[in-house]
Amino acid sequence: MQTARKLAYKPKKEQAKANLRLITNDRKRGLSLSFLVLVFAILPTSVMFNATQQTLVTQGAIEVENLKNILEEEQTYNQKLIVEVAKLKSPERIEKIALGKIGMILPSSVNYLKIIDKKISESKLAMKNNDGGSFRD
Amino acid sequence: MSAKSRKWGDARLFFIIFAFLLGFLVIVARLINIQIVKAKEYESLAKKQRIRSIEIAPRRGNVYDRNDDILATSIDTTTVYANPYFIKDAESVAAQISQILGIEKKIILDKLNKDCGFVYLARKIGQSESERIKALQIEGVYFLRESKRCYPCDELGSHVIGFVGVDNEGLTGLEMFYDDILKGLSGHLLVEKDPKGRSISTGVYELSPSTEGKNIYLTIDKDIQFKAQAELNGCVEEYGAKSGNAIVIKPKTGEILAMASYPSFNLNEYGEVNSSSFRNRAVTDSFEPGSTIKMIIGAAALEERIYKPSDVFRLPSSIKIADRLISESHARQTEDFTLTRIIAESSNVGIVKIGQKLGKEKICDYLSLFGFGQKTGIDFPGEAIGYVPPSEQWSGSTIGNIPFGQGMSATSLQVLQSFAIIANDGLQVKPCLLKKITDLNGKTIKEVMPAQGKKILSSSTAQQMKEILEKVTTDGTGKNAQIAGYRVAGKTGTAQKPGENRKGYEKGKYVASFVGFAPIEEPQLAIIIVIDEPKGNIYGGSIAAPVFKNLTEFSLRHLKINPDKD
Repeated sequence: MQTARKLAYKPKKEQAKANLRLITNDRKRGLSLSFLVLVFAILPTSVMFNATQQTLVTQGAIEVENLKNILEEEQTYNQKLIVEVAKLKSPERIEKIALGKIGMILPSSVNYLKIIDKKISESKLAMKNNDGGSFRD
Repeated sequence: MSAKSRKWGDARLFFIIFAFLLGFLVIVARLINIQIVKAKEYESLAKKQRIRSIEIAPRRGNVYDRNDDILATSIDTTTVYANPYFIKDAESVAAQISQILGIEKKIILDKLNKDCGFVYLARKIGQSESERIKALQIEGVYFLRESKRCYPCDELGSHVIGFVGVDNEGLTGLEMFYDDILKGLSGHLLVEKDPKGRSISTGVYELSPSTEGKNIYLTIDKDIQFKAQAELNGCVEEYGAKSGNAIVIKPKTGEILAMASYPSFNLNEYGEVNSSSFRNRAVTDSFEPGSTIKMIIGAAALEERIYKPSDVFRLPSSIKIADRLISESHARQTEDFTLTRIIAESSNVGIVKIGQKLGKEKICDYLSLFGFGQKTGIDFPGEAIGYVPPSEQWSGSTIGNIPFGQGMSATSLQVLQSFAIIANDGLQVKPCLLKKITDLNGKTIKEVMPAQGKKILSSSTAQQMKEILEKVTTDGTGKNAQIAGYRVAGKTGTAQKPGENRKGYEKGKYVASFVGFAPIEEPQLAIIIVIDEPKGNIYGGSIAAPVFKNLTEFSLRHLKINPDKD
């Protein structure tokens, strides 16, 4: 009976220690479990994230490549238009159309009308008098 | 187990371990060899296999005229190339491509059968052809963008502008002279490729961008250039001449507004004409200038104050100099001529008399001062210098030749420059074709300012000579050069052509020319017309002067220059 009592009796300190050990072990187990969960959650997530990122980068690169091609095509088209405009402005072409299609003719003679501006004439006359008559109008 | 057999068993175990160890050591040694000893070599081999360097050709700059109209530009075209190692059925590929390109099948097939990784199938082809080849989706056939030079005005200014080769390098004219400015610098693109030659978008990508070529703006005026070519072509064809050339210059600045040569050619089809047509004869060819040189002799006599324009000379119908009898182009009796009339009516006897008075040293000095026998310094390749015999090499009869432009040679540009000196009150300016350089966005990098003129003659002599040269068009040999509303100065030239063996002159072969400027009061244009070997009519006053008149009249009107005559 005494032995049973001895066995049943545990000093308070030891009991507390045992309880603490139990709690610590449980916590450790819980931590490892959550670490495992975390690892298993983060790893695929990061892998997924990386894969998504790579896909986005590749898609972006393809899009940039496509846009570059479009830009080049537009630039080529623009160049062609510039050349076309230059060809349309060619004096040879204009003369051909003017003479051939529209029926224009080259002027046989040109008459110039001299418009005398009194003020200019007077100032020129004054200059002529000052310079000793070297000015010719 | 006996001790012997245990020993044998140990030996076998030892042998196997040793063999494994040896094998392991061999592998380690091989790894060390690959990873450390030959690492760099293999690395570069791998790079060579995966990474391709693509040359990025720069865009060649444009050529514009003085009014910003395009004379030469570049357009993107497609070049088709192949990697023969990837071509599975060369026969059918050659048949398909040759049909689209209109090339013989054998040519394509020979290229595809080459033992190399790169062959051009067709360079710089049109868009429709390239689209049709692309649609075939042939493995091993690739496409490359290359720029091709394009000249929208075909023949306009062909001799001046020049053209480029298949690799966009300038071959003639200003395309060659300003090649360093126009071509730019190549760039490089490093890309990682897969075994099929496709770019890996996430692979290595290094870009050294190309430096684009710069644009050049010429002093040429497209409309005046067109008129010059049209007038010149018309004249050469009308008189069945061998060739001809014309130049229009601004005497005050030396800017060339037009420079034409005949025969002409289309810049977009230069491969189809004889290479002799490429010559810009106004700059590269020299000829005996004939009577246009009389102006220099007259100006020298006035500058040296040996004679005045009104001094009278009694001139016989001919004059004997050493073993040569110098006569006039049109027979006449002994007459009194003033210096003005000698030049206006282009008297050979009169000008020889003035030349005799000047002396050979002075004649040589003035010809040199006016720029004969030396380059004008124009920005154009292959300029000829002409020839003026040095005074110590003159024979007894040379004094009877040089004063009227025989026994020497000059380019059209040199003759024109000498007249521009008179137009510019005795100042000589260097002729030029470049106006400015800009980058591709149009920002001016360099503007060519007219060089400071060099004083050759006094203003009074230049003024006197202007009046004498006006007499040429009013009373002399150049009446056909008169323009309504404008006072015009000029001089005719009709020179015999020297024989091929340089002895004597060829019968019936002449060079007809007219050089002058207008308006006299404030000369804005100086123009020369040279017609080589005209048939029928041979005189500069009859052939070249009307061309001068038409071209000058058009140019004055085009530039909105007011008339100076009542």
